[in-house]
Amino acid sequence: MHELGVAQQIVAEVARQAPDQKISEVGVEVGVLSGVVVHALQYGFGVAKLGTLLEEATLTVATGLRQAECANCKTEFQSDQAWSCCPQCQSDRVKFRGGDDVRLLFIEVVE
Amino acid sequence: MKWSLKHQTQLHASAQRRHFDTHQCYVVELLGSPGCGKTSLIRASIPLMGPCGVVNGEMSSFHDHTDFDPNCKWTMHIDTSNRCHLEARDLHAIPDENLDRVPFVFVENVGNLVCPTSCPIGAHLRVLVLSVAEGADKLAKYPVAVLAADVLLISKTDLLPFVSFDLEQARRDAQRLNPLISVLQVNDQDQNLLRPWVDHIQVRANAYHLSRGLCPWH
Ligand SMILES: Nc1nc2c(ncn2[C@@H]2O[C@H](COP(=O)(O)OP(=O)(O)OP(=O)(O)O)[C@@H](O)[C@H]2O)c(=O)[nH]1
Ligand SMILES: [Mg+2]
Repeated sequence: MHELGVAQQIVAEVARQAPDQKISEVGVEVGVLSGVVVHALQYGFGVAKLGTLLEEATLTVATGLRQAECANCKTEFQSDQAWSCCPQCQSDRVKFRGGDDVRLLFIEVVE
Repeated sequence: MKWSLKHQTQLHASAQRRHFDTHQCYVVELLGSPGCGKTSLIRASIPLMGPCGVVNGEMSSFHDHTDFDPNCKWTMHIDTSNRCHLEARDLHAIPDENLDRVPFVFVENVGNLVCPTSCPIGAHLRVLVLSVAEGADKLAKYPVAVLAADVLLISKTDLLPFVSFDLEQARRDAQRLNPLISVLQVNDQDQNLLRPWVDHIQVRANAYHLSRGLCPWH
């Protein structure tokens, strides 16, 4: 359960990027392999934002998929799996990368 | 915008790494589930190594903080007060004079296959310990751990006759996820397995020190 810490970091970063502004929405991308559980992050965000200018803000979460490329047939695809065979040619020579981070996507300020 | 969790944790880890580098200390981190054999492995490895230090991260006990071989010049216990992983800043607590006394440090992270993996602490080498009793499928079930590791150490191999653990499957699953990972086997009794493992980390540590114009353990 390190999602509270992650939520605190997101709140701190938003406050740094939009100082003295009331925030209505924060968008993040959570990778399928980031180790962050989305509902725990939502819960943590609800706690971390209390008493800050993000108090009214909602957290919108997009899923960060993994990028894959088959070394055999060169097919490129996205996946929510850590690893899988190529869906096109079934080869197991597939390189996967990404989907292991949490990224800040956008900040919506109250007008 | 451009904020990312990985980048953020990496900043802390890099700062801690530079601190180790200043003191010319090569740091090996062991991670793995509770009871996979991290402390036993450190204890069995130290007699085959030169002078070193040991850091044990534990959530709320002192069990791992025991006496090691005389090669171990100091040990340090870090209580994470129920946090499930060490953080780079926890290692600020290692006194500089301790780092100066040894060219090599083992850091045992909290027993947990998930949380420590996304929180690098600045170690030069991250070793994932998986005991055969846990099952080879754990690598596919906890891919984050495999992605974070430089070495997969399959431990407690003396138990292989009693459990069904497919070594080939483990190797294949690990290398599919992380093509650069090295896979080794150990158990804490068998010198024939401990030696290659110790050689593996010593070769890396020597390369590190030589690239800095130093000659460790001489
Ligand atoms: N058969 C066998 N048992 C082992 C081996 N290594 C460790 N053990 C046993 O496994 C148990 C756990 O070992 P530890 O070294 O404490 O494991 P750990 O990973 O440090 O555990 P935590 O710090 O609690 O996460 C102990 O009972 C050890 O005696 C091994 O190579 N073979
Ligand atoms: Mg231990």
